[in-house]
Amino acid sequence: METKLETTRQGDGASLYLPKLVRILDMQTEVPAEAVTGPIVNFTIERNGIDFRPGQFFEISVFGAGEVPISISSPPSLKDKIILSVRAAGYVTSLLHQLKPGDYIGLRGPLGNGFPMEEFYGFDVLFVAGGIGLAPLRGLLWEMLFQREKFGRILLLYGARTPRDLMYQWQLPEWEEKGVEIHLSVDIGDGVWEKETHPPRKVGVVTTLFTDIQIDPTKTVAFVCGPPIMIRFALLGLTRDLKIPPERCIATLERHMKCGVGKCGHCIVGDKYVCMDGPVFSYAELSRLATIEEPW
Amino acid sequence: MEKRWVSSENLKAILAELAKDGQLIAPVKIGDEVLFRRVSDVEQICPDTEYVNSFIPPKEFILPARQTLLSYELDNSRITLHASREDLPEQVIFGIRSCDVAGIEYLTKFLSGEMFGRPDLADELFMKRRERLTILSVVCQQPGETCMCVCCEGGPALESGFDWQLTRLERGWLVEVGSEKGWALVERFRQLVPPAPEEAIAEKEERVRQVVANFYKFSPHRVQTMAASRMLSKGRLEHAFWQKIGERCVECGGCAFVCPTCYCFNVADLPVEQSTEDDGQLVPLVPGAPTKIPTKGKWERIRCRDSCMLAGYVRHAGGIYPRRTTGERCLTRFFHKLSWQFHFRMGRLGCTGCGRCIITCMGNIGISQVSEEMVEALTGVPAKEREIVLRSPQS
Repeated sequence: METKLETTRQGDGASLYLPKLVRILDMQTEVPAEAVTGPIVNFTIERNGIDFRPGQFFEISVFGAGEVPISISSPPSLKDKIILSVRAAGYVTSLLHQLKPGDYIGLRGPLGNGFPMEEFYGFDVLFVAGGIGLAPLRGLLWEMLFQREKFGRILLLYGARTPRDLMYQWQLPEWEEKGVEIHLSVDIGDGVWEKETHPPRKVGVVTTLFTDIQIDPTKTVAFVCGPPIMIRFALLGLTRDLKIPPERCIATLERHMKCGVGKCGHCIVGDKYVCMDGPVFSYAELSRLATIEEPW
Repeated sequence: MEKRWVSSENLKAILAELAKDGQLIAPVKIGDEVLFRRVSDVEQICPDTEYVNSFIPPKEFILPARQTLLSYELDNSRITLHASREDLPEQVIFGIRSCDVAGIEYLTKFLSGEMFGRPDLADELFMKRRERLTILSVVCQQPGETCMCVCCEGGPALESGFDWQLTRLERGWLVEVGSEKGWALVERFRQLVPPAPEEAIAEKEERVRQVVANFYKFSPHRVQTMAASRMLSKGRLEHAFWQKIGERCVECGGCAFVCPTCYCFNVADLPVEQSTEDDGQLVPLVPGAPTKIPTKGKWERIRCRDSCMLAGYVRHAGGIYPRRTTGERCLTRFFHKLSWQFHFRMGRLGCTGCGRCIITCMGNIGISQVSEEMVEALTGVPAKEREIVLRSPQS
């Protein structure tokens, strides 16, 4: 049945908080519910001419449930659609998983600053991701692959709890083909996964992969996302062991958010609002924030 | 600044005229407390000599405790969205104190998006209410025992933020006109507000000087907010200090609800009418979540006051929980109120010195006590002794 939509606007409208309606085109399970961090579903939604930068996020409304901030997993260069990888973690996201293709969700955004990509043309790029932290980095990685000639080496160090928790495994061969050097890790192996040799892999936390790679710290930029504890140790390892300067270690943070437009105050870290000043910060900025309170 | 003079009788006549339009909000004595209420009769107004400040800040008129952001109807496959509609009359608030005027200025600077340099992200609900509010403030001449506006650039008299600033004089009132809107009001009551004589202006200056002097003499909370601010900004306080402060917090959120500069809000989708079709057979993906998405009914997305001292404020879905302890939350709160970093971003301290959190807090961790303890923790000199040292140049 064709869904009919209406939006009406009367009086002194709070259009700042009024979402656009967009349709879900497709839903694919990325990580099954049985995995430690599952279930994660990739939602493909209508683009509707929305422009964004990699690293920005949307406020997604599930009608009858609420609104949540979700990072964008597809690159801006992907025409006509947007992909959001969402884990059923709370009230709203678990109801989001119950929607079907063809259903409508609300969308506000894009919000936040996004990754500084243009600044790093000509650099080697090192991605360090943990678990669902690969979701916001995937958009940037793809955008860089669309502009492959503008970047040097591209490395991806990706770790998850178990082999089943690794996201986008189906896409790894395509990335390798386009010249991404991939190293994987899992915290706990399943006896089968670790016996394979390609891509290179390890049982252990993602930071243990740092010893397996050779990089030139003078021309490398690192992008990091994952759970807070992983961000903290990854940034420490990148600067201390791999000698990348803190200004070129870039992380994207996750915070509880309500409005996404710098009004509700929930995402404050030190003197920064993650929704407006972030979510992307360099390690140099984060270390300064850490003198006030731990941003991770 | 344009300065006018008005006699007590004429001021009453002006207020009566405004009250007749149903526009006037003024302090009213209810039981032992003074609260801002809509008044129809000027006799209801509590004279400024009989109260220090209202129990609840007048921010409730521009940032109500609960506001609808939008509403929507679901009917199987049909979604109808309605932006929030608020038809508000013009309002005039009389008797508001300087600290609350400074609070409104702070809220406006933040919610208009000015702090981020993003006027396109102004909060329309707030801005509409702010535009329709005329502020007639009254300068305090007798500081209360919890007042600390002098330490926080919040009074007793201000240079901006008001439409009219009234000061009670020996005879009549001095009117300082602070805006176009205030000027329009002068035009409207042209006959009643003649230009102020030189003596009236001098008398006001003298009275304000006297209030500041009195403040230093009598107020027990002569906090060194600036000293506290410096320590906080440089991160010079131990984790253990905040844990000790945090132990006294009972997580009531009262400090934020009565603060004239606190704006944080929570957002929730609440059903107005809902048909429940949950069959209870399925296992929810997350404990406590409904198993079935609602398909029919009316909802409202509301915002309501929230406080950074409450437990759920920064707790993520999925188990990540920054600022788990009350101590860490206290650090966040006081950092936001007193630090240089926020002072720099907002152009003023986050505290205007109204002293309401001092009255409200059951754990005795109002802004002045914590400031004093900060200084004490770093200098090792107990607050009491320091008080004597501070008093000497004033007395």
